Amino acid sequence: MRKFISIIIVMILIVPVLALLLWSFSEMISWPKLLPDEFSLRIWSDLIKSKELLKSIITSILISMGVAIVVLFISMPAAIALSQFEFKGKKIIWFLIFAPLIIPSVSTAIGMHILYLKAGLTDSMLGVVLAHIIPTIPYSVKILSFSLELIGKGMREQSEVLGASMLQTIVYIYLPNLKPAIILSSILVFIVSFSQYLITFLIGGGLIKTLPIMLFQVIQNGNRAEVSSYSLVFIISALIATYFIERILGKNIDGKYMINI
Amino acid sequence: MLRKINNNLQFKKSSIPYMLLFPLLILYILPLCISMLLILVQSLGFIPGLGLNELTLSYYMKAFCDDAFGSAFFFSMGCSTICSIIAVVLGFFIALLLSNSKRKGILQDILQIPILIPHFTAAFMMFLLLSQSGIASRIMGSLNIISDQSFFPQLVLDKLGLGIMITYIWKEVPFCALVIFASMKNIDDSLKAVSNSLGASKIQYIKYVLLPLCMPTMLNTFIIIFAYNFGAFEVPYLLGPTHPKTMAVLGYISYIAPNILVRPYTMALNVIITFMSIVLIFIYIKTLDSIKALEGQI
Amino acid sequence: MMKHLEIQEIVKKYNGKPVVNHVTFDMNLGEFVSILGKSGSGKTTILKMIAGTIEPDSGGIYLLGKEISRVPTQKRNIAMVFQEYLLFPHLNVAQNIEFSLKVRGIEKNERTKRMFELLELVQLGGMEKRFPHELSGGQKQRVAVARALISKPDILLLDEPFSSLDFNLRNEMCSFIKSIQRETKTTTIMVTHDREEAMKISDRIVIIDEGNIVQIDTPKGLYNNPTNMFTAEFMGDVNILKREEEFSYMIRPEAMSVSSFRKEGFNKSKVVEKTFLGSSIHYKILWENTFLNISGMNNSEEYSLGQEIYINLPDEKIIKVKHC
Ligand SMILES: Nc1ncnc2c1ncn2[C@@H]1O[C@H](COP(=O)(O)OP(=O)(O)OP(=O)(O)O)[C@@H](O)[C@H]1O
Ligand SMILES: [Mg+2]
Repeated sequence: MRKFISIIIVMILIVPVLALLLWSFSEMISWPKLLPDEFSLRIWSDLIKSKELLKSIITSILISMGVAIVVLFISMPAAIALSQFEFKGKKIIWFLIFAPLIIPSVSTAIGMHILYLKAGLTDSMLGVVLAHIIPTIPYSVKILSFSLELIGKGMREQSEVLGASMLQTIVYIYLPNLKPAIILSSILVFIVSFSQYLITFLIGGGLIKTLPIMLFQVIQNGNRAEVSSYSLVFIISALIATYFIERILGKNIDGKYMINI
Repeated sequence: MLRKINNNLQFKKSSIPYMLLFPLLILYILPLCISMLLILVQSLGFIPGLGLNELTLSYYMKAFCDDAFGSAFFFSMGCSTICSIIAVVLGFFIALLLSNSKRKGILQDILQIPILIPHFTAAFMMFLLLSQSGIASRIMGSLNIISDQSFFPQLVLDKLGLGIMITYIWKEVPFCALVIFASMKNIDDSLKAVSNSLGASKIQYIKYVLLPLCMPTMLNTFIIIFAYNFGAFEVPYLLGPTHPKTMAVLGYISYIAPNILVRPYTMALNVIITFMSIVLIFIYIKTLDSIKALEGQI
Repeated sequence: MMKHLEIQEIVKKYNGKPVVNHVTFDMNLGEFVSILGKSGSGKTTILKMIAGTIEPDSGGIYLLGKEISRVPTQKRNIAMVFQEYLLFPHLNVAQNIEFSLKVRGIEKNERTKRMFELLELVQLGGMEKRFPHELSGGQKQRVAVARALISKPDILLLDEPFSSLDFNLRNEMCSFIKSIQRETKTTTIMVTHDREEAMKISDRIVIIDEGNIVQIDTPKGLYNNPTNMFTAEFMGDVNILKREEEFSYMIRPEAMSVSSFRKEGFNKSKVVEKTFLGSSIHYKILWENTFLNISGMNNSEEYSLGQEIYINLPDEKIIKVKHC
């Protein structure tokens, strides 16, 4: 019985992905057939040749990597402040950090657009990266501060008593001990940024073509085969990118800083 | 290198947390607050660039009097409340399944798939499955249950928002399941042994021990996905009917409308959406709290 | 002579409630002082204020006459071993011990040399490559001490260093710490709630209760001449002879002489309870409506339950203490 339910759940989760796969190899399937008369590689061969698609993958990855790095630099010290110190205004800061989860994304996106127009940051990669900070911060700060709370204040006090400055404590003590949390939060930030449509669309003004922008376009065009293949490309690139983030961070955040810096 | 920086700077202890928050302040809090403020100011009819210089509440009046607005509010609220509740409840049961099964590896891995997929792609997948020419309809057609695709019930682009809700549920149940499962893992196994030794059946253990302990996580998860579903525009934009629209779609369409003079109206709409979202979340938190308090008394 | 460390009137409040209340004491160079008090009495808080991880609300801390209570922790050269060791889990023993030299920018060769000296001192030679999770409790303890001592701190602070060790190890570590302290002549403050530990190891003991200093003296002074009830009871068994308005009179069990036959100056009493404790035997006796506890060595004369015995309470051994 339990096994049966598990299988159903797995089916429900996987069948839509399989549907994408099926459609991406079919020009046209007449109702009520489930399989096409013949499988076609046309869509995929077009895609592989498409310079535009390759460019959008690279743009997307660059932007989301950038966001992951910037957000780590912002949220790491913030999480330390929030989890290790008592200070006035802590509640307000927490509220503001969770605000993007509560404020409708349409409103934040529009607000950011107005602001960035005034600041002259629209239509640029930099602008898009900065704008993606807003929807990603809640996850990052929450994950990091949760882990920091588990580590406790003692580790910091011990390090200070032994003569380390705040910066040294962060680099020598927190970074290596927070490795799993940093990896998790970076992956999550990457994925959230990688999937952003509206903010990128408004701030990028159609000039910054990320994968979601392309994908949204083809969805609106409505060619099923095309959308299916684009969706698969999106999912595969997200998977590959997260795999590499894990590898890169896993290798570089390490006790070996101890010897080198 | 680090040492030199360190020696040149000496701070009072109490200022350290504020220094640590400085990057957050500059790159996150300020932009967020300023952009919200800009929306607010523009919604009051103050856009000097368009020659609008007077503060007025008339745009709010206009928004509230609009027919589309009322139906949009109930449509958004209904859809997002229903599908968020379903997602959390199903998530709880799947988490239970996960915590009871030995080979949780595969199920757990597969549960992560929908998390990787953005909402608008999920919307398209549901379209592939559930539209009248979709896979479900084809299966029924092949089995001769229906003779033409037009007999298949309209599940996407429908007036009830079924397509929207199914997409949200498909995408969010796994998220809920994994989050709730993580909090279940933190619950001490010995609690199960204790309650068994006190004579509690398995279902009683779930009802009286596990569920209450998971409740805070479930409430948080509910609030998070509700807020998302209420405020995001992509899925209802792609899978929703032309009428009623959700609030978020209304806000977006009005923003990209070529007529720039509706700007203050758009902003008023957005302020209202934000406000509604916050109020609804506040109400839910309060209601759920009072339900919990009530349960405590029983 | 200038005191090495002076603590003056320091106060720390949490939520308006004083946790450390006008604490004042001082220390000479090379002295070993223990802070003794019950759990939650504010001991750790005092240490942390000296170390600098907490700022006092008011009062001053002077190191060689220089006020340091607003100096950042990193610049104080005061090392502290925390209640929970807090070895850095991602660093091995050598890296843990070297940590404070590294953050001070000491070059690698010098660091390694000092690290091996310290490793030798705490008798952990050959363990430098191990990680904290590969060490026993006592070994972790010694790494923590070595790590604290490597920067030649002016003051060493130990927060209940033995509390998580078992009884035998505790004794061993206790004499070990004392010998290292003598060898390095480091001015040391140790926090503990274990009276015997404090008596064994300290030159002087500061007794603290609910944030207030109750009495400061040598172990012997505190035991023999407590000025108040709290110290008297905290430092060991006492028999209260008489209670008055403001003072009580009492005597330590071993200060009484006992005899099984009538003697000059001895009073009659009766054994009502007897407890065998291994090396000693405890008796509860009834003397003029007062119950007294006395103890005898296992190899001395033994009394039986209900036996009449005679006790002497020498005037000079009777302690007069204030009620708190
Ligand atoms: N950050 C804090 N906020 C509020 N109260 C605190 C804080 N730190 C300590 N206290 C309170 O101050 C009192 C003294 O704490 P402290 O840690 O100094 O006790 P202690 O004597 O070291 O106890 P123990 O022997 O259990 O370690 C306790 O009642 C504690 O609850
Ligand atoms: Mg303590």
